[in-house]
Amino acid sequence: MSPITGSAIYKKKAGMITVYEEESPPRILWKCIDAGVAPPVEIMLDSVVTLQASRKESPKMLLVIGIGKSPDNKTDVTFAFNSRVTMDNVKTVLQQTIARRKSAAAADASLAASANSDGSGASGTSSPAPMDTHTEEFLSGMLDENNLLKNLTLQQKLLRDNPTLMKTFAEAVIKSGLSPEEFWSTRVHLLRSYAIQTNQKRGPYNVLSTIKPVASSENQVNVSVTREKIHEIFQQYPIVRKAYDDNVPKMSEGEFWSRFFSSKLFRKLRGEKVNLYDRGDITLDKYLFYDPDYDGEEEDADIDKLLEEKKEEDGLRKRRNSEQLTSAKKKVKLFTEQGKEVPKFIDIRANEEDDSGKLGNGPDITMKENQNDELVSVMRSMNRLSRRMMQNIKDNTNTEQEFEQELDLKDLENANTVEYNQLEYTQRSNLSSNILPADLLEKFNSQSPLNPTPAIYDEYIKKLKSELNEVDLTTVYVDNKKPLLDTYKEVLNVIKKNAKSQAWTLNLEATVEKQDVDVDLPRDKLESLRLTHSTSVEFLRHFWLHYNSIGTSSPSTNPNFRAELLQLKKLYTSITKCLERVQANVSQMDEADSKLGKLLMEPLIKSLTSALQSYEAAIVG
Amino acid sequence: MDAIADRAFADTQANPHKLVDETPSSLAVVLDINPLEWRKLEESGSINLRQVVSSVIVMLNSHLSLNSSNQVALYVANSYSHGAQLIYPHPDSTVSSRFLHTPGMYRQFRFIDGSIVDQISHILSEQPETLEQLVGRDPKNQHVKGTLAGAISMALCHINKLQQSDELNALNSRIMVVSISDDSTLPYISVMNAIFAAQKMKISVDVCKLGPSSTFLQQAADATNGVYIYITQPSGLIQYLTTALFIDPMLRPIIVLPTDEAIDFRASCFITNKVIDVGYVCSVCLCILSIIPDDEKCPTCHSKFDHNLITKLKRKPKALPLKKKTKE
Repeated sequence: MSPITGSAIYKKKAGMITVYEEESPPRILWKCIDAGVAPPVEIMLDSVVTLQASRKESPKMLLVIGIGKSPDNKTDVTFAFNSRVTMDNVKTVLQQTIARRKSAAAADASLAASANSDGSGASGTSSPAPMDTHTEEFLSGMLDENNLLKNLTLQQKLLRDNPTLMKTFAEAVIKSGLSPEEFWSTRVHLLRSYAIQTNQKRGPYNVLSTIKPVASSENQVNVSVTREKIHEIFQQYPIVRKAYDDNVPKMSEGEFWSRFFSSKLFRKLRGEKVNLYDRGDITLDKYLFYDPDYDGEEEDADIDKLLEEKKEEDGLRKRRNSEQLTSAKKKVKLFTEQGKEVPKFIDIRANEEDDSGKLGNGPDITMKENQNDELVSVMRSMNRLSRRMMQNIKDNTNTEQEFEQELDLKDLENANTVEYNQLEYTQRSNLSSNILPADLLEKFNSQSPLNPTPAIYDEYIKKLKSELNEVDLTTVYVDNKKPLLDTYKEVLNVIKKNAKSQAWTLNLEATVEKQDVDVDLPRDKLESLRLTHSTSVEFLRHFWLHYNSIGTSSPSTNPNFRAELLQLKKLYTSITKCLERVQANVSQMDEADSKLGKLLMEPLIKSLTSALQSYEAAIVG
Repeated sequence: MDAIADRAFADTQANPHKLVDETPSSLAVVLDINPLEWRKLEESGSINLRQVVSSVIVMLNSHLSLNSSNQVALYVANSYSHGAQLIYPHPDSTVSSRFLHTPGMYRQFRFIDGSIVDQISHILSEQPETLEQLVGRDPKNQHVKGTLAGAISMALCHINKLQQSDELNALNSRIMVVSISDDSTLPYISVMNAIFAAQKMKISVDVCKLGPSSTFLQQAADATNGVYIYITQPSGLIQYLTTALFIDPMLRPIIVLPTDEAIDFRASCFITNKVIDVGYVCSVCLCILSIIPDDEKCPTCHSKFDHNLITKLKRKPKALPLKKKTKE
């Protein structure tokens, strides 16, 4: 399907309007015919709220598209058309796309609501823990084959995101009556990967590096922070949390953040270079001189607040302490994975590089004299950041057990003996490769030994024996120019062909266009052949699935046996129709095209007929 | 031509100057001398054994003249009474009296060529006079083994020996097979084993195919980065041999090979020895079957197949009649 396109006038300039409905998000693009006279107009269909077109009787052909957040608060864009047909086309496509989007949004909302309601609200905004066990359970339940097949919302979403699949779906299910369950049953893997893809959670990341101040038109610096980001900042930089706790009742929240983003503290935490004379923020920059390793554990000066939050704080601290312990253990584990044989934990030589008696502070670049201060502080802040990010990851692995295993001395255990199953191997096929033709032998064996007629072998071997009596090497090229030249050309052609196909495989991104160039058919014809082909293959796939399932089961072993029999019969008629469609498709073409079309569709016709024949052969009675 | 060559060179990442040097190379040729297949070829008027032997000799001479340290070897396969044999370098060759009608020829070539022709002639002369002498009268014992795979294996062994030796280990080697018989004469497993061995040793197997085309040899060339070429114009054979089939192993990674890229990847049934489209595979040894054996055991590894599964496989699918039968 090519995008809908047509000529339209915008602000009295003639141009072409194109609707890209398959893109995500879908959009309209209007381009002036004289490039440069007027800039192109692009409208994301996500933002369309109203759509008006002049009536059929009206001589004017205007299409008014309202863009904005709500019908009351919108700007109108007006296109004038020269042809009623074009305008109607554009209008219909816009209507469909917008309606589709609205229903999708509603479905998404209902899905989100159901996801939230059946849990204890663990995925609320207050604690977006990176590894949410609740969502994991939710996901594993969702990935179950039956649930995937029942999840209509997911299927619709996938279809919207995958235009090719949508086409096949439309052809096979909507037009040709294949049931949607059938269609999806062979595509569970697609649904599953899509479900995983759309439900993936983001791990911890350095949040400050993602915040980028943007200069606005009024010469102001704008920074946008979401609630999740603020939460992440507090987790990764306890110093910011402290600053916030200290200051926020005194100043407004907005003020705090605007001060923070212009402060030296912000730049320092981001790892940027802070010059002495940079403009900063007096209130917040004092936190620069706080202990950079501050983890929010020191006694807070503000006693009132401390009392207020004491209970909460205690809980937090306990958790944090235990987390630190796990992260310390985790470090040990990370090391052992690198040191292959002996776990670091029990390796006596493991600390060699940290032995200050041997190397001093040599291996640690932050512990050297004359080391560049900048470098040291960057290294330290990176280490701090990594440590905090690791702390925030909770994993469910049983660390106790892992450490027990690490303490095992593996080389003291009995070696595992691998047991093999002995196979007696005979090459029967090697014996059957007789280089004497079977028919010759048969004839020979049926012949009486007294029969004087000699076998072909006897006659020829005499000649062959004298074959090499006279060998003249000059015969291979003397008086032999034409075949040599022809051969030369032939070899060259093969090389050219191979070079071409190699170039294709090397430029993978261009494959789709190349395929079209290679086949000498009009684009629409080719497209229609492709569609017929993919639909037929779809039906064939289901046909053989059921056919083989019936072949290897019986009514006693398969509860769906009867249903499958009926289904197969239906598929038989569908395949008959497919065959008709293919033939109709080919016969509609011009003579020259039709020949090529036949050539292209021949394998398909063969497989369709073979399916039909298999069915007919299997008919009972 | 130039444009094509340019593109092919540009598309490879390797630096050609780095790869190509004056390393000597060795060429092993395997020649199929199946007598009855030669009869077919000769009767169809395409080419005879003498012409092929002459062309191969010229090719070997060309190879030797490229570099003074280059080596050649020639094997014959599929002879009825001798199987696979090494022809050149022959362990006990005597200086040949032949001059091969080429008076001005380089003396070294003349020795080699003469010895090759002598040896092949000798093998042919030792073939039995009649079919009766060859196979005897016992129908159970009339099997003549195809030995092309054997000859390839011998060539691989020879190359392996060269590569193990101290002075010649830098030698790049390749194998060229001149095949005239069809796939039914090829023992599938042996051929596949030879292919994998060649692949592991990084030795290309080129195939010069006369007569019926061969699926297995196509696969052999494909797996080893070799050239499979079907000879459409036998009288121009020397041109194929000295261009398409004359590519030094060092050049292979950087040039476009004149090989047939449409490869038939089908395998052959271990019982019937026929190439099959759809079949069964033993889950233990991966042997390929087109029919279910009666004893329900794998013919290769003797694993017992599950009886229930076999009955399931043997059951024919049943389908509903297309139209409901009217009650009469």
